[in-house]
Amino acid sequence: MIMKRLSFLKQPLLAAVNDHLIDYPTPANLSYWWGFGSTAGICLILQILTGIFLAMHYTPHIDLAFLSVEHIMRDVEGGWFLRYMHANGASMFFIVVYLHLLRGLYYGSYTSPRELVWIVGVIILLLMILTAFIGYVLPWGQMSFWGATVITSLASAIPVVGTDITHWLWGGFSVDNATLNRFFSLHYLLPFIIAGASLVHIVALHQYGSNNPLGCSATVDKIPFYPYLLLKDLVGWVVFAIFFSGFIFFAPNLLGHPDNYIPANPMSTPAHIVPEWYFLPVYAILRSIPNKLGGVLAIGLVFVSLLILPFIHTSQIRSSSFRPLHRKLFFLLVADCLLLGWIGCQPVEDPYVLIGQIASIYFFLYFLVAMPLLGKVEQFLLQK
Amino acid sequence: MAKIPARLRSVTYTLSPMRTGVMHGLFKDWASGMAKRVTENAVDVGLFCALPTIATVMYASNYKEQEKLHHRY
Repeated sequence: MIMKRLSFLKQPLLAAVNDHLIDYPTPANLSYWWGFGSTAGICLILQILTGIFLAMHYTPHIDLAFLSVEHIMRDVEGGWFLRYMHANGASMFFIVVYLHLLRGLYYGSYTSPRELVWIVGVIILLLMILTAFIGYVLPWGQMSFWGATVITSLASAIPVVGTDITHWLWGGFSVDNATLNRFFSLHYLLPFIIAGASLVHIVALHQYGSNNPLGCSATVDKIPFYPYLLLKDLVGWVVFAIFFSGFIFFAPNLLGHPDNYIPANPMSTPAHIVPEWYFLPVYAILRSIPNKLGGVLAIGLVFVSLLILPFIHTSQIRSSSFRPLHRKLFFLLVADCLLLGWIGCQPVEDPYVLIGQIASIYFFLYFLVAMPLLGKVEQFLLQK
Repeated sequence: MAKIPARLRSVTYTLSPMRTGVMHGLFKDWASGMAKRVTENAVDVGLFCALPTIATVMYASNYKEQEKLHHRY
């Protein structure tokens, strides 16, 4: 029986599946924090599947989009479930990916030789942000319309060509039917690009294998992915399913904005235009700079900081379990991101402006100053 | 005597968590294991994550309250 299974798994395509999902050697000491990668994969699959079924009933037209979403909720069999799963699934996807990213930061998973894994991961995050943003426009509620207007108008801050780029993004002179149509088209396309990028992420990871909580090379003490790590991941998936179900069945609108249940009205601007919760930290950084172009550049710098992280990391030690100084700065960064998220949904007035500015400064100090310097400080302290 | 690493492919299907007995130790010393995990980063999380977050939110709410009172009287 065993021999039969072994010969079966030596077939061309199945051999690849076997090498990457069954026999794939993983460090023996991986903790539950390493389960968020596979959970993110599940989120992506769920989003694509629910999205395909939602697209069968959705109409990308400004006169019908809002009504078609209501039609999905009221008339389509199980439509409410599909829609709530898709809407909350986006939030769940971001929760999982943010935790996955923080784990990578804490345990130094971005350092050599896994630079490519990190860079592809940041690109996936960028694509996710883009997909989620244009997806939020599709229900054509008040927050969809005004969110799209505010965010796409940011392109107008680019000198010389800014206005042309904004008009090109809109497909006209304002956010209108052409915008909704192209956003729907792109929202359908981008998840498949994310899926492709995720495959590249996995291939890059499997070249050198997973990092581990100790941060040291674990070439000898490795165990096969199946059954050990699969079982461990399964625990995470079950906990995630319970958490996700809690939102779908008990608080489906908790993470959304009530204004999005009002049809889009270009003649009536909402009192506060707030993006979805997962954009709030970046939105707070954007608003903390009292200059449109400066804000746009700051958003760019957030992703540049993440992209260059593997190359500015100077520490000889990978895991923060053995970097007490970095651990403190890391938890401050977590607090900083939470505060930025909170500031992002507050009105632009005192004291929120000042708090947002201080939090934004710390965010960049952590990545662009602390990360390169900390390794040298650690080296100095170790030599003393 | 040095340990000879086993070939993964040859052992994958003959190993089972039950057969190798790895599950026996799962709940061994459970309480101290959990205590260690919880307290490992407790001081850093408390001082550098929870404290600044709570302190900032309290400062802001106090500021708004004072501002309200200032306008009232």
